[in-house]
Amino acid sequence: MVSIINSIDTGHEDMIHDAEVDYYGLRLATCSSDNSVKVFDIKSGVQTLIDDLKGHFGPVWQIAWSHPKFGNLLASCSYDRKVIIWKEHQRKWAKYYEYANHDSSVNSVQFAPPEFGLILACGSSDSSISILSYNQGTNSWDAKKIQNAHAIGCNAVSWAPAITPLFGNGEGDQKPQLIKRLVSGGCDNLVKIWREDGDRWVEESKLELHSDWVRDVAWAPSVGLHRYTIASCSQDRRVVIWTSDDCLNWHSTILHTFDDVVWNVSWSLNGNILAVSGGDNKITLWDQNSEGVWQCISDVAKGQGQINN
Amino acid sequence: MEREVKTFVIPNELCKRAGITATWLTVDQLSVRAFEKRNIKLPDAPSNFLSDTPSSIFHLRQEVILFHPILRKLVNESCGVFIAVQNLIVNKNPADYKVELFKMSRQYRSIIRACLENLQDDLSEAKGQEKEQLQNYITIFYSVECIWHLCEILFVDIIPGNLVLSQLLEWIRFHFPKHERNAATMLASESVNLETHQDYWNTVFGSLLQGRVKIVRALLRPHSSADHPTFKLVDQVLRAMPICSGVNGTSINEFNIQWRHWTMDVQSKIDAKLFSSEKHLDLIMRLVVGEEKAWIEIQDHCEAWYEFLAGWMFYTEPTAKSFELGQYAKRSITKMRVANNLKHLDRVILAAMEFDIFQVIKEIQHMTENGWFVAHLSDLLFHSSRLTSLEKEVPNFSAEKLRESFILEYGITLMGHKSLWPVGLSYLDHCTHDGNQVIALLLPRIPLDNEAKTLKIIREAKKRDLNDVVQCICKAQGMLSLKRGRIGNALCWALKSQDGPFTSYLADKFLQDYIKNGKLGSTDLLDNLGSCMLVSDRLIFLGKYFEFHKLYQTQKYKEAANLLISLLASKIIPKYFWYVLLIDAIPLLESEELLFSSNDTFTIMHCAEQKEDLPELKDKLNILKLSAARNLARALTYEAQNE
Repeated sequence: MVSIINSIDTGHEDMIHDAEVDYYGLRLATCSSDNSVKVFDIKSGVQTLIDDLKGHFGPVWQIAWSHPKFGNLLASCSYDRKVIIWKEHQRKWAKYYEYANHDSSVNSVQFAPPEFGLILACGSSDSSISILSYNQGTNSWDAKKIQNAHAIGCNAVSWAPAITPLFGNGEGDQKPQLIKRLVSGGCDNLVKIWREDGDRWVEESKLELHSDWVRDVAWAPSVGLHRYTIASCSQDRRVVIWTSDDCLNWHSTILHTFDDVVWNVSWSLNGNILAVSGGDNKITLWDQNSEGVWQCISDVAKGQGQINN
Repeated sequence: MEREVKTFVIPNELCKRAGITATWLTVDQLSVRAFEKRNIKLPDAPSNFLSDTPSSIFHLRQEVILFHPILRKLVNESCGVFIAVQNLIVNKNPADYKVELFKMSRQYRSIIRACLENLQDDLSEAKGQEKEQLQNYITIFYSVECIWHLCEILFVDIIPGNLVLSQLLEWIRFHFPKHERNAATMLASESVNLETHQDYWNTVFGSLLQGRVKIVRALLRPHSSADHPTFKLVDQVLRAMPICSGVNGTSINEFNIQWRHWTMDVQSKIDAKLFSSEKHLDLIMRLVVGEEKAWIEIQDHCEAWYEFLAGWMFYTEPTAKSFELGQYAKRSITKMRVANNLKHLDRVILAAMEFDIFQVIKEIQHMTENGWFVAHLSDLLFHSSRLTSLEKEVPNFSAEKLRESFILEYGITLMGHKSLWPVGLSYLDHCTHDGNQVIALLLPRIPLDNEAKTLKIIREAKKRDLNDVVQCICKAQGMLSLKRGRIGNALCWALKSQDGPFTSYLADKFLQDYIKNGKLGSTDLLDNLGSCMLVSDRLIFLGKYFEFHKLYQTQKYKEAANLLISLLASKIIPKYFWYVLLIDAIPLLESEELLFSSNDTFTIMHCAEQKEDLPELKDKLNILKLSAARNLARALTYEAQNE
């Protein structure tokens, strides 16, 4: 059985576009078309509004929490072309950094895995992707931009987990270099993989399969050595699972063709279950059986089911 | 496998109109909310869903019955047996531990039994919804116990000569204890006309079907007509019933001959209508010779087809081998006319009797006890080499993978609980493929409620060489302490996390606080830094500066002076701290005892000159220069005299 353990009335005056809990699931941040970002304490099942963050002048599309090792920073991106990073001080959040170097709506923000440091990727409708890195020494943010990442616009970005390369350059005790990668999806119907190369970001792979705008991409947490898995979903009503052993040769599997546009994909913490939400007002959960085939799961014993409204 | 899709409804008006989306929260929680994908081309205006109705977010979680306190013991104790099984198989070859595995299987069963007893106890006091819930758990675990027992007989135990009947009867007797209980009560009552008891004949037939011939005879004796010749004859016949004792070929053949003689004898007596005056006795006799019609008559006495099966086999196929069980099972189902009405438990039992282990495993995944059963049973079957043997039959099947997938899932489920996570770890540790990676992903996500828990998580991470996890947790704790203004604590965590820049940042805080209020905090920590301080230059400086203070306070001025000089000569002094060190030099320069050599004094004077533009030093500079000059004069005189 599945039960609703918490129903949180956000008090937003318009559509909520994103709701994210922090690393330990103790705080919830929401953002809305009413231009605001709200932070709630949801520890022990009781919701308390901690702060209402005003700083954007347009619908706020997405928010992201940083890893607690950087303090609980919150990033938000908006139609107003800005990305704001908020920092908490005594239960109040204040603007910590504002990035206004996009020429159009910023649709997606994601913090990199903490192993890489404090880094934020932002995807925008101006077709570019920005990567903002915090430099502790100078206490400043450094921005790099991938121009023309996706024609017409970038809809979603997602970081690759920090996996040490199997045959890294590490010899002896030297720790092998972690490679930063991210995946993006856009209005050019493409899914693209980007890799940091020195001080530049280069396009490593271009995954072509979708026949309409790619709405969301999600890089799966890595379980099992050196196997990369990405889920993408599109207005072509399909969800595609991309897998690779080396990040260069990608194999695609169409998870399913749905009855309507698919808006979002979300991996469970250990990457074994994918939640898919679409225009058919349904959320379906998928996992891979022992033969490696993707299936919609409904096993009550495992407590997963289709959530319908 | 066919899976039935469960649908859950989100009771929200806005969700209904706008659509919904979901994101994962924690191991077992999903967040659901209303969703409208806006397009860049849409005007930046309130959406169509702007309204007074609240926009809510719903957090969903799968219900895990194992988290109910009453099942806690089951979870913990079975983990103990699980670990014992894993330890057992490490160093031995399968032939050696077969017997041990059978014992482990019985231990698992006794844990289930104890759990059922607890549930029964609590049920008597429970009310309403809770009662319903407990009743539900009891049903689940009764089925689990019943299937486990059968699987143990068929797949784990070693049955001599494959003669399955006696074990099968034992299984039936265990799971249908009603007749034995009733018989005991009746016999204990020492009544002389037992047949007046309303359950009398039920109990007689029940015992007969379970192969308890002695009890049947005992029950017939207190019948008011027990002295009647028919009763005496029946007693005689039953007493003469042959019993299969040995398992080797000769004794079985011998038994079969005896059995045939005996049934022929009984049949002739039936044909001679020797029992027809007593219809119950007549039925007993016709049953023991396996008369089809009699067995149809008795069906109503059987609660389940397998109760029927065991009785029927006892009187008609007493020497059946285990591999023949499946066909007899099917026959019983047909005879009982329940083929179209098989419940989940029936299906699993049939699959087990047909030795279709795959089907058993598939079915028991649906038992709604969150994978406890399938994880433990498939582990046991795997180690009994029952799963590996399937690899030859099924292409691309890996027994190890199957076992691991269940253990992994069970472990992950437990990882989602606030206090059962260490138990979850024990299971994940025995997943050789993905266990460690899953631990690395989930361990750092456990909310750190208190310091004891945090330290425990760190210990578990260290045990598994998950250094990144340890560092991440320590750093996060450091940040938290810093936020709460507890710098000493923060430094402590920073040191554990081995994070150089963070440590430097905190060391700076210490020094700046010192400038502000003249005090160095957390002296215990600073006093015991030892080699930890090497993680950052700033920390080395802090440590050394603290040492300087200590020496000064204990009036070891000479050592203090030496340390000060070596600090001034080093390249690790923070810019903002230069003037403090230089001012600290003044009292030492003015000390009665000569503390600085001429060279030392030159060093101080050189530094003072270099830093004379520091605004903080402005009003002290002259005093410093004067002191240094005076000390230099003293030192030169002293050195000249002692050359």
